[in-house]
Amino acid sequence: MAGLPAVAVDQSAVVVRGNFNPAIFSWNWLLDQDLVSAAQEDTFSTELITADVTIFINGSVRCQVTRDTFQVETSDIGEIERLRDFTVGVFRKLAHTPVSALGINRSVHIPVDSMEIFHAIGDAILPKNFWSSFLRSPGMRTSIVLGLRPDTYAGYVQVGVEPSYTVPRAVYISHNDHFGLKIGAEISGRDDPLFLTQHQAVEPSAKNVEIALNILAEEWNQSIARAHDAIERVWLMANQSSPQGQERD
Amino acid sequence: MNTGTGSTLQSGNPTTPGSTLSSERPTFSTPLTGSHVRVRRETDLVSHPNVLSESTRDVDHATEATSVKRRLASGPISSEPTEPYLIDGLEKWEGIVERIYSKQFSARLIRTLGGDSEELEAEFDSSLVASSDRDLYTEGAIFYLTVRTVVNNRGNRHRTASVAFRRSGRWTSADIDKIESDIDALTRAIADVF
Repeated sequence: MAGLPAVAVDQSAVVVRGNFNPAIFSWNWLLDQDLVSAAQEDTFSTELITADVTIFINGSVRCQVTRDTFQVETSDIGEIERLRDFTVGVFRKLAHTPVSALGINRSVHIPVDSMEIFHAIGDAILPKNFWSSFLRSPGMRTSIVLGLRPDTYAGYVQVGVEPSYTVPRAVYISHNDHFGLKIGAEISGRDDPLFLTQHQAVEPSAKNVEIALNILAEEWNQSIARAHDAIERVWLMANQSSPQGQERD
Repeated sequence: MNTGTGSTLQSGNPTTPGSTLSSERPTFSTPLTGSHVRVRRETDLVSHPNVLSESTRDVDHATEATSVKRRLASGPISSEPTEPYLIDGLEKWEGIVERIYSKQFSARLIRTLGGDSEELEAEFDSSLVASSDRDLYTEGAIFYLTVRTVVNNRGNRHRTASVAFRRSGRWTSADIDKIESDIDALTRAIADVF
């Protein structure tokens, strides 16, 4: 792969769905559990801590916990393992917390040199011949493709492409590795009736914590590599279709 | 088809209608156009990678690693880029600290991203260990090495890297008992196979 050019924002996140008590996530509790070190006190800030939502920032890692979602994220690719380790540490301690799903996500915002290239990438993802027959200057707002999981877990892999609304004239590519916290039914392909229900929600249960921990321990590297590969492939395909890419060819 | 969008565990483009968590984030504010279009406040962790964060320990490791037995990436050594650049490679390695010396430590590493799962041994300057990771810096500790090759707009190549040590929380005697129990069960299962 040729690599990613000029990534303006590169964000990774681990998200867990379940039933949480946000107020637990205080500096003192985290310190007591050795999930932070005393030396991090200067770079740790609590933005909000209530019964409904807690938000804190620890170095380059941001954590937000609501009653139904635990999320840690960073925009430093060198820190993404901390997301995994912190999540593992938290749920080893909160082993009786009902959880239902786990997401390992990465997204990038890639600026492009011109509007011509910007639109060419959109046209490569979603050709406009049909849409132009009845829409004036159609543009792709979003394109999301779901694939079956490459392992035996429930869930799916989702890749999204759309214009960035954070970075001017940039393309946003996201990879969402969604694990339902159970072993899923085997789905043979798109014609399988179960294909339409692959995203079916899993009921929150404390028994699922161990599944989540196993995924983070055993599937992490594959997930990170999958996201990297998917984003590179989408970029390469779209960019090769642009005038700039065609000139290189 | 977009069957799963409404339930995805996704973060990222804050304006995406389908990004469920985006709409839940209280730090997103100031609608731009339409009800779904929101922007992040500066306090959000959406930093710009072409301006390396002061809070991270991104350094040019090549200048500090004392005797890397095998080069992690090729290219001349220089200071951090301070202008827009292209990411021209990303490698991730997982390492274990083998020996700690007065000013260096040796480690065994295995690549987890950016190539085959190659193994190598290397020595690093101990100053690479962040002060917040000092309590984790012991022989046997697990750490992660991220190596990036970037190209600035004059075509100069730079290698940057960062080291982060694994912190996975306090282990209780109950945790250790469970691990030992799991190992026993696994050992019995393997013995049954053979």
